[in-house]
Amino acid sequence: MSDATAPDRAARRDKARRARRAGKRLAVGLAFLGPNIVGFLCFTAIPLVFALVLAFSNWDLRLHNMFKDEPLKFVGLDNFRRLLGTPEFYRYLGNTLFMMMGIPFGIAGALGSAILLSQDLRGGSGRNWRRLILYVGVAVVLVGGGGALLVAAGAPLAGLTLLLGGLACAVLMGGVLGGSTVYRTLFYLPFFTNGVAVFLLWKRFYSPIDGPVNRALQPVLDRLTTAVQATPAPAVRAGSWLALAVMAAVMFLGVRTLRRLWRDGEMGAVGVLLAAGLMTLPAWLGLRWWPTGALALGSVVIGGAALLGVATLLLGGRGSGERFVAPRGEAFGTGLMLGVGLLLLGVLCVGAGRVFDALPAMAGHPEGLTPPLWLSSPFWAKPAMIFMGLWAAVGGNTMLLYLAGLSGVPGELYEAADIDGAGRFSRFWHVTWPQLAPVTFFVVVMGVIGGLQGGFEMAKTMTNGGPAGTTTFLSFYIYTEGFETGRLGYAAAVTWTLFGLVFLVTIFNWKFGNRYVND
Amino acid sequence: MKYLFLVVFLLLVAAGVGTVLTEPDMSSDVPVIYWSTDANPARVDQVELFHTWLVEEGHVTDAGAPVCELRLDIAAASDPTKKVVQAVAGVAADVMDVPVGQMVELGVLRDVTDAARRLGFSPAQTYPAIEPGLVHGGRQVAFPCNVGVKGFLANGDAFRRVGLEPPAEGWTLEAFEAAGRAFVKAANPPGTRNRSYFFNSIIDWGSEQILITIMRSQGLGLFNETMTACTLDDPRYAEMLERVRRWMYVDRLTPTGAEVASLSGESGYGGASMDLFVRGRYAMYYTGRFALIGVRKYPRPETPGQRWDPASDIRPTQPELFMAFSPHAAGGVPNDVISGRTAGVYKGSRHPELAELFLAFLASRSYNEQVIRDADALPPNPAYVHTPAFREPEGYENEWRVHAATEWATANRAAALDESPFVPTPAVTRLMLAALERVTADPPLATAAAAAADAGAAINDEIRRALAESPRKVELHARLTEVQKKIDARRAAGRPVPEAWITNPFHRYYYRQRGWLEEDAAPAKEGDA
Repeated sequence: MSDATAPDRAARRDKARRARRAGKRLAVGLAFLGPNIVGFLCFTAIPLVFALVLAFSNWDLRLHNMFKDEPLKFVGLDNFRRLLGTPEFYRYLGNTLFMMMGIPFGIAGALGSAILLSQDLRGGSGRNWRRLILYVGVAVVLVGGGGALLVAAGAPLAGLTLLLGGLACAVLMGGVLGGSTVYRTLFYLPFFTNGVAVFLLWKRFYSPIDGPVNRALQPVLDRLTTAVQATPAPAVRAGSWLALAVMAAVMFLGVRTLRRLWRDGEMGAVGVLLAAGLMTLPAWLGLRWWPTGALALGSVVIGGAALLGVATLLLGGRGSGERFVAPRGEAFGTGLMLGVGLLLLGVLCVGAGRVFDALPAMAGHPEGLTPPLWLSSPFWAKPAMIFMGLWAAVGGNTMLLYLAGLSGVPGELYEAADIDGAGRFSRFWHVTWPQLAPVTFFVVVMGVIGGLQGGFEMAKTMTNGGPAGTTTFLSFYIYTEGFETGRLGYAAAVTWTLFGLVFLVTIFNWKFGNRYVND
Repeated sequence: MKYLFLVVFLLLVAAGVGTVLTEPDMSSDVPVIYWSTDANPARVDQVELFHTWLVEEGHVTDAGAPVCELRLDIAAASDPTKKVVQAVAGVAADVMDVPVGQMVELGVLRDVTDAARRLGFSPAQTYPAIEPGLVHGGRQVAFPCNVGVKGFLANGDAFRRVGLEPPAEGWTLEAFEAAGRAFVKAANPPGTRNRSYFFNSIIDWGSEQILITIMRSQGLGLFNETMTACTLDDPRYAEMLERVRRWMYVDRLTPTGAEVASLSGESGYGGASMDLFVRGRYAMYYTGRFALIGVRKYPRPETPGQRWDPASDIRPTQPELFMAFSPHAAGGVPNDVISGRTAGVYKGSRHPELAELFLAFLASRSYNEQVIRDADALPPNPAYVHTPAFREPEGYENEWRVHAATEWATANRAAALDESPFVPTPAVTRLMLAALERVTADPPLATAAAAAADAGAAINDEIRRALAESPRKVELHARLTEVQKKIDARRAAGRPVPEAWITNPFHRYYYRQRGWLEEDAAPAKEGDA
């Protein structure tokens, strides 16, 4: 009996020991996870659920607070109905979407900087290296010291210019000594800086009359004014036709790309039609925007020709040379991206046409051509913020992600590309870019989410939502409705509508973007 | 790794304990009350004065110490939304400097009517024009910390430098514009970019009141007599918006938005306006007596009458100052908007009776004399201004034309801002500012008529929305709308209107000035019209 129970006891002891060990592990795990879970529940999950409930109520700080006895009512979808019937909501949504146009440029900039920063900057022999340090060091001392002397001697502008030159030399030397690590750190510095401080700094940069941006632009515009004044007005206005020609070229390239994708079976009919519709949109909108009737007519002809080309392609079927058949919805996302890209180019052409047409009159103004008023102008305030966002995006987290992604690209792929005789661009296009697809997918998703949710700090600090509401984004609208007018229920409804939008866009990205990542 | 985490955790705990141990001792033997106010250094003196006043008035403990300790809370000073959130959450300061109308709507202010009668800080102790800001629904909820009207503080040196005389106290719109054009022409050499302006930016904090006073001089308020509807959809408002655009781009009396952005990269109240004013780049600054605090930070001239030379690099000195008030349309009614920093007692205060003592202190001699010394607008109690210390403070001879003039205007030509109980005031301000920005954008985003119509319609939409959200207000609105019809009928017939029918403080003032009031009439009843 005792022989029979001993192993049992040992097994039980072993089992109990394992259970204790597992329990201990669980306790340790929970101890680590606990603070985060509690924080998440208290500051994210519970408020989230609370906000959802709020969105269906008439909670208004003026009616419902600890000193008021007005009963809280559940109003069903009233807040959402009101929201969808409020013109301001669409206006502020439009402002938010406009700001998101900067996202692709920011991603491109971050990728560019990541590629530059992934280069080995400390190449060359030790002798060359030492010599370079010596030269740059002497330059730093001379330029920086000279600048300081000039500032002290009462020539601040020249002195500051030299000091800036000295700083540039110092950065260069830092790069020689520390390699790309120094540059990576420098590029990432804006991200360490407090957002409000950066916004205030940029606000100063954008100062319309004496800000550094316009001070740099004004001499260029002065020369352009002189050049335009010296050129006969019809010759300048002819630039509008050049813009129209560029638009025609854009459409042609678009049709050609669609034709290739269709024939190779890489894109279905829906994608082709979507791209064609978006691509030709500026041609129809141009009817109103082109400065003369002849240009408008030309625009319509170009748009019509492009559509005709696409229609021929689709209706022609195999007879027009379709080599492979793609499912109807194939590459819908590609079609959308292509269409939006071409749409933007087309709009730029129409805009350029208008600029060429107006240029002689603008240059004839007593003050000549003047730089934009940036944050003070309802037309430039949003672009100004986009430019600022680009500056931050180029050296931000996206760059870090791309740097990490680049380090993971297998060297053999580049070797294979080299053997195949690929040039620099081909190496990038056929090796780097596809290999970075997961990173790109991630930063696009995060960028879109951030874009829809963001803009509050910027608007609050730089423009307070103005001028005339042109920089009021949805996040700022939520703040004014919730805390200025006290309509918490309505503000929560805006928040959840925004969440719905983010969710839809993310699903869209996931559905159509993830496909390329997995390919 | 877990040891690393443990070490970090212990370090954080040690840092926390260290922080707690090095915290200053915040304990007190007496109850502590908090005063949420701005970050003006004068508040520290006022706290000390309050403690002294408590002792003088016999509000002491058995040991002879003040019955309470007052502490400042300036964390929410710059953002009223913080005060709103604190108040509705039950954690606001005992005494708050607040936009009273907004706080009354929230229901977070304590009724101090009885305490005011008992302790002597009823509306009778301050300027009558500010009463609508203190009394809501017949009950007093606040008392002012300071009072005043805004006007054009004029830099006499800037005028005289270009051979012009500083303005007199009152003027018509035409005289105002003519003087402005003359100054701008004289101060800016031909062919150069405008660098000197007649007055500061109209989009500076509170400067939109210039529009309001000029419209009011023509009989147009933000709301009708009963504040049941917005009246900005009116040609007079459109004309005013158009006029402001002309001031910016044609007459160049005031800088455009872009020029303001260039003149100052600063944010917040006033930006660099004060410095530009003292230097004479703005000949006038639309502000109140409280701006003298800023002027006094500049050095005094070494000899009396000496003027600062703008060509020199040294810091400018205090200029000779004049006060001119808002211009009025020809044949219109001169008026100014009375305002002030107003304090109320928080309904959730744990020591409301001590907080009420602080309001009583605001009506006291020691507090009022301190406001006079500091030039922080006018003292709330007008009983203390008829002294040389107020009118002709020693060492500030350059200000002597400002003090009495401001006091006279506050007492005689001021009306409170019309804040409708049917619409949140921040929404009205935002919509009015948007209209102004649309018209003064370059190029304009809307015609003045369209902007005025849109602003009026948007504010009336807000009223409809507020009524839909608050059924209790519907009845009040309906009753007042009936009264409004009677007022309209009487005015159409050219008959006077009982004062009690009018709830809008501006219209009361305007009707009184025009002689349209039927004095001592009872509140409106059915069939009165």
